[in-house]
Amino acid sequence: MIKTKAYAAQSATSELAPFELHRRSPGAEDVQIEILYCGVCHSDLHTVRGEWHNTLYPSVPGHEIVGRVVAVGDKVRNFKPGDLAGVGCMVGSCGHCHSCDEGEEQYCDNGFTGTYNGPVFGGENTYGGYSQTIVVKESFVLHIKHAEKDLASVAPLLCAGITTYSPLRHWGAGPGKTVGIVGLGGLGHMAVKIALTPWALTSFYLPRLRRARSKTASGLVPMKFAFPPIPSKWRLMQTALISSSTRWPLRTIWMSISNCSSAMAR
Amino acid sequence: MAAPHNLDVYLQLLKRDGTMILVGAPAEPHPSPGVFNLIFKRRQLAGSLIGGIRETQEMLDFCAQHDIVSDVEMIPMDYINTAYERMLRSDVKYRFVIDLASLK
Ligand SMILES: [Zn+2]
Ligand SMILES: [Zn+2]
Repeated sequence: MIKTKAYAAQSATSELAPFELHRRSPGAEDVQIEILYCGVCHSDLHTVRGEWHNTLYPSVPGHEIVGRVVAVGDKVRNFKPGDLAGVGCMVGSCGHCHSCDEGEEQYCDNGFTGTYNGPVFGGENTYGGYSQTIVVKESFVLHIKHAEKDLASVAPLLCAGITTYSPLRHWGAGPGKTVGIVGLGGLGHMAVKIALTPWALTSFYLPRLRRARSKTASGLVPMKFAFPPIPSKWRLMQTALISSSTRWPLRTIWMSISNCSSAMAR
Repeated sequence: MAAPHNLDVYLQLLKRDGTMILVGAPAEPHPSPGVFNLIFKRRQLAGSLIGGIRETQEMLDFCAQHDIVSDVEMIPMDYINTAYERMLRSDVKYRFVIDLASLK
């Protein structure tokens, strides 16, 4: 067992505070990583505050993990001590269902194992990246090829990056398409960067949404926006990503992807 | 605290066969959009959850190749509770990242 310092919430109403946990000693297929940086995702907050009604306590969130490999098991072939490595939202899945066979472990029929808060369909708790060390099966560890000086800024790619990259690819965002991003936060700003690269940005349009005066009774739920007239050219939006998880998605961007020679579609 | 949005506002901006994809995970569901906003232009409303491991590696390599990183604000571990309050106010451009060297 490896003793690890961490930060945990003990209940939905308690703040995060210092906590000590134990990681398993690396097995034959495991990679032990010294965590250097961990991004802070809105899911972390939902989880520690029990807002999805499925939180196991104590809760140690964090699934945008980057660090350095310090030890590997006998059967590990693709990582060695000293390598930069990343861990995202998953640390396991059944490995034999239709989705796992196709490399879509996030849709595993038997439920993937979240990096924190355990298997999605119940089971033992798992502890995430608000900690010094993590031990993960090699097949769920990622290689980081960015320069080491950028490592902290790479961490959010492990959730915010892939969450926006995957649908942009799946729905074929690329030349000739117009993409709208609703909500320019952690996810949204990554979507903008990913959607526009490597193609030159030819034009974009930033509508200024205004909060409509009428609110619902609770005052919390924005049901109406005063949407400004959108120039007809920009009504040709092909794909929109709704990434906002905060109350007011007032920052949005519409982008026209063009002026390019290569296509993003596989 | 994450809140539902009025999806109709955005659906109406899609052209024929356009797709709107939900990737955020609010604590409360979005109200169902008006059916007419879907059927009249064969628009699609979809969802997507992170990505597979192979695709995540592909994304990391793509970002390394094109020099894409996140815009972050680095924080020490003991700032996390304050960071959460700021996140709820969208007061971060655009992601907090914890420096684990601060966890002593
Ligand atoms: Zn996340
Ligand atoms: Zn599976």
